[in-house]
Amino acid sequence: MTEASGTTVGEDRFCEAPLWGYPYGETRFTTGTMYTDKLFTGQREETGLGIYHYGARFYSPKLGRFLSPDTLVPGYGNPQAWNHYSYVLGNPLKFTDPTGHMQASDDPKCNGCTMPLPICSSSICNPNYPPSGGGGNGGSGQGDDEPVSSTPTPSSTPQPTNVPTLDTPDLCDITTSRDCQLSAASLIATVVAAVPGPIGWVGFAVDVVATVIAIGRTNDDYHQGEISRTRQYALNITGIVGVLPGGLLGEWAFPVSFVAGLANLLMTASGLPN
Amino acid sequence: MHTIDFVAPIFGLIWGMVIYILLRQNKSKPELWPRILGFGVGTYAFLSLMTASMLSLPKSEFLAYTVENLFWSLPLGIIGYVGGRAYARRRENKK
Repeated sequence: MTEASGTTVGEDRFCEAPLWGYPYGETRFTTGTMYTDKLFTGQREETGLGIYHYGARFYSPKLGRFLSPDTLVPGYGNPQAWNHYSYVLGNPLKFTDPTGHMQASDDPKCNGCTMPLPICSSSICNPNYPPSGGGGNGGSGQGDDEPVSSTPTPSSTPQPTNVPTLDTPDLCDITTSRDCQLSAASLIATVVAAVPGPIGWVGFAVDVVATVIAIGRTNDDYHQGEISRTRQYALNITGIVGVLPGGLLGEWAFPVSFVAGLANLLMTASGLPN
Repeated sequence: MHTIDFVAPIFGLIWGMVIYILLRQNKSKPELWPRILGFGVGTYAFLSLMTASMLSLPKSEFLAYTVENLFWSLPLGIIGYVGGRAYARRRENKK
């Protein structure tokens, strides 16, 4: 059975014989008898046609393209996603496509999650990442780039896999995620800034600094193709509105900036909007 | 914690100290505080964002992230300006 990498050769539990394939799923050769039609990345092959049924669409491994256009664009931040026929952003060595709509990763950060990477590596999908020690499950993008051991822990019993859904988002772990720490610091500073006197000005300054750092991280994530333009704007605008001083909206400044800061924290924690 | 995370706080510390000294000296008139804070916050934001971007992004995207950072620095500068105006008004009301 071919893995997501395409070049990896292994023996599937449903197969008597291994199947060798190219990165885009075209079969090089196989030996023995195949007892399943679930082949490339576990998708079902239409026998005799040489195409795969990916749920939403059919995929041709010979072309390396889907046969019909995608009905959604999985992240405007990446120009590769603008091609409605392309397969997993043109990177089958890194991604798979469980739904026929968007790419997902076998990255250890994802822990079986089938969401796109920005959501996948955020706390909504894998609150247990990283498995031990530091690193983050950042909300604005990929999280911190901590090294992850590629060697799986041997275990005689199957570990329960955590496959969370978008309906039950977990709040971010404030002890590990830098983005969540910044967002929370900004929200607390917003409250402190409402206090009259020098304490309020210290809160305002901390709010500005935290917001600038958060904007820098969000913009970098966008330019690196890890988050969409929508998410970049949503996070940055709520961050900026969260710094509003009393002089701008008078007595409305605090409630508005507090709600914006809270929205920023929730978006950072949930990985939404993607 | 990465090195890049220190960029904005260090810029912020320097900028905050300069603003604090300027305001404590009482040499600047309250009418100037909006401009001082507005220009200060805007410049601080732009310099921090540019430094962080240059350290983490390729040179080929220089123009893209310069425009991006200018775009996001502008509202922060405006917020600094408004904050300075609020501070000056509060000070004048006390007198």
